[in-house]
Amino acid sequence: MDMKASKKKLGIKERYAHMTRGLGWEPTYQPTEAVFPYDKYEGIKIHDWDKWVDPFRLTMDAYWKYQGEKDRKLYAVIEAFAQNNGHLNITDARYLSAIKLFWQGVSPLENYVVQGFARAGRHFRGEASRVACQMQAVDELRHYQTQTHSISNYNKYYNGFHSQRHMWDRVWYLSVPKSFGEDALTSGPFEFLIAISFSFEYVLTNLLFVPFMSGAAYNGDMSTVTFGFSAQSDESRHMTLGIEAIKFLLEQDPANVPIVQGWIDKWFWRGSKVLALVGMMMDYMLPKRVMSWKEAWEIYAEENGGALFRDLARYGIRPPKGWADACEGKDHISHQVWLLFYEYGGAAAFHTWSPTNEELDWLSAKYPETFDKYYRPRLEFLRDKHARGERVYQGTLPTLCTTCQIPLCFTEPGDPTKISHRETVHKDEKYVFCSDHCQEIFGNEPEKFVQSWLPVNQIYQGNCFKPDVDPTAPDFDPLKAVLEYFNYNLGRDNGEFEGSEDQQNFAKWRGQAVNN
Amino acid sequence: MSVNALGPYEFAPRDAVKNFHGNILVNFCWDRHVLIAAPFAVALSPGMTLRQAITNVIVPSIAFHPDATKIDWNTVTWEKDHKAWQPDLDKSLAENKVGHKDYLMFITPNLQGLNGAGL
Repeated sequence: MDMKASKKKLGIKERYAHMTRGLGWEPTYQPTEAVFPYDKYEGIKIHDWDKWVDPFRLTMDAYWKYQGEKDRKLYAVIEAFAQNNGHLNITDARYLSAIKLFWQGVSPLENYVVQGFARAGRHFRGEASRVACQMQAVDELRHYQTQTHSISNYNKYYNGFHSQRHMWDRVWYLSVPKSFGEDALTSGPFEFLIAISFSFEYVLTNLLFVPFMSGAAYNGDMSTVTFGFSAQSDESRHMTLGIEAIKFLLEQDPANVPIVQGWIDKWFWRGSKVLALVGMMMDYMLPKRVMSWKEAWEIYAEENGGALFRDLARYGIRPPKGWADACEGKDHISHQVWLLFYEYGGAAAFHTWSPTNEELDWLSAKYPETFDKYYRPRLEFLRDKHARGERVYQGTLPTLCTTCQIPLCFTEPGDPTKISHRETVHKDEKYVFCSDHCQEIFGNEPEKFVQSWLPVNQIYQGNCFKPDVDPTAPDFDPLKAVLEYFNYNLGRDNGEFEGSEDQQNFAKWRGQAVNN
Repeated sequence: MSVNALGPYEFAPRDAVKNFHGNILVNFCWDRHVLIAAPFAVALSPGMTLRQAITNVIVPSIAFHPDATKIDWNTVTWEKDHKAWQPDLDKSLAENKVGHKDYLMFITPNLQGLNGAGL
């Protein structure tokens, strides 16, 4: 008697078709337009959603298996890190400021991207694109969670990690990534895809993730390295998705090209501004440095990005408008942002300090054209003042850009001692910007940016004090009241690193670990 | 251009002058002195004289710069919104026609910043 052979297992292609398009259906209770109200109004024309292919052909069942495996490994390392006092193996307590910046300013963005992809996954009508967006939403949620679990170990010992969610919605410098994320979240689903999948995940992510994760590896932070590794395969999938997404849009209809180009111009510039925070981290906050911000920009933006835009030229896409100005900024922005945070160090929930001579020499070597002329004298001047007991803390609030929300610390292209300032009058109201490109982004969507919640302006409007504060009291100190509203532990979270509680505790605990 | 939206999309500006409790927001930049990391935004009463604004707000905020004590405020040249401007320091901001969110730049050509390099 012959046994009947069971049917062969499905191949990857068939399986992908069943687990994406096979899950869709034609709505009958409601017209399709009513079910998918958001995928037309941006002007993007899609003629054939079936042309969307996830290059990994990943389906949900396989996805759970891979991610579960990665999580098991990660949590074993996190546990070992906690049990073995891994936090004492970092190079220097100054490194903690880099992790604070990541935790305060980058991790919450992951959470925003969860929301954005969940929404895009709901509103695209192609099934395969919806499945891909759903998986990315779950990825980003996992990243937020793994970062939370990894970094929470530092919160047991050090300052500035304690109020992430509270600070995100209030603190002045966090409004930079927050407004970036909210701008993307409130865009249409296609713009969101170009903003995050393409402009951020594809063009710029290597300038965010690689510096932080290799910075962690260089500085003995096994916890961060491990969540970085765990996220890395997700990130490469997101990058591939980003490039596939843009090619799909460009191939579907020639009318999509100028729309996509406008989004690339906007989101490249917005992303490059957010990355100024990473530049400062790389050049100043890592006790053991990986490479300079300038070198990272040259490799990941100029070389890789340059090749990408040469490739996209056949679709009629040119490099983003702000490209030349962003490249010119590679010699300046990390220094300008660090000096800004140093001077406003009383109002930041991480520590700032003066670089050592050896670190200044490293910066001189990495920035031969600009550092000795424009930045070293400022850093040395401020260090000398501190040595004389006159640590500079600026107490007067800075002018903010309406678009990127960064204080106007950047200089004119080609003129490093001239602060760059632009303004636009829209419906009798004046708006201030840091650059031509931020001004242009406003000009394209003024109705959106008239709503910008600019922390400095909100403070002056009286919206940044705790409810029980009396601004008319004779001893009212507005700056202190604002920092209390931010939920800072004053004198512990903020200010100079030298003499800080973090510095002292780290030295004491490490001393106990290596000496009798 | 305007925002692309499905329905009406119109919002009041968040930083309209009426939200500042009688004050106006004024931006001050010391030209070619980038040791001062960014221009200042300060909320001031329009009835305040420009000299009062300088003395009470600007002078203390730039005091750490080695050029700060050398400024002769009577010979400083000004630009308002990047156009040459000749204010009367002893008249009020309103009389000098300083408006909400204006950008006032004071220029001290004889003081060239740290190392004489515009810092």
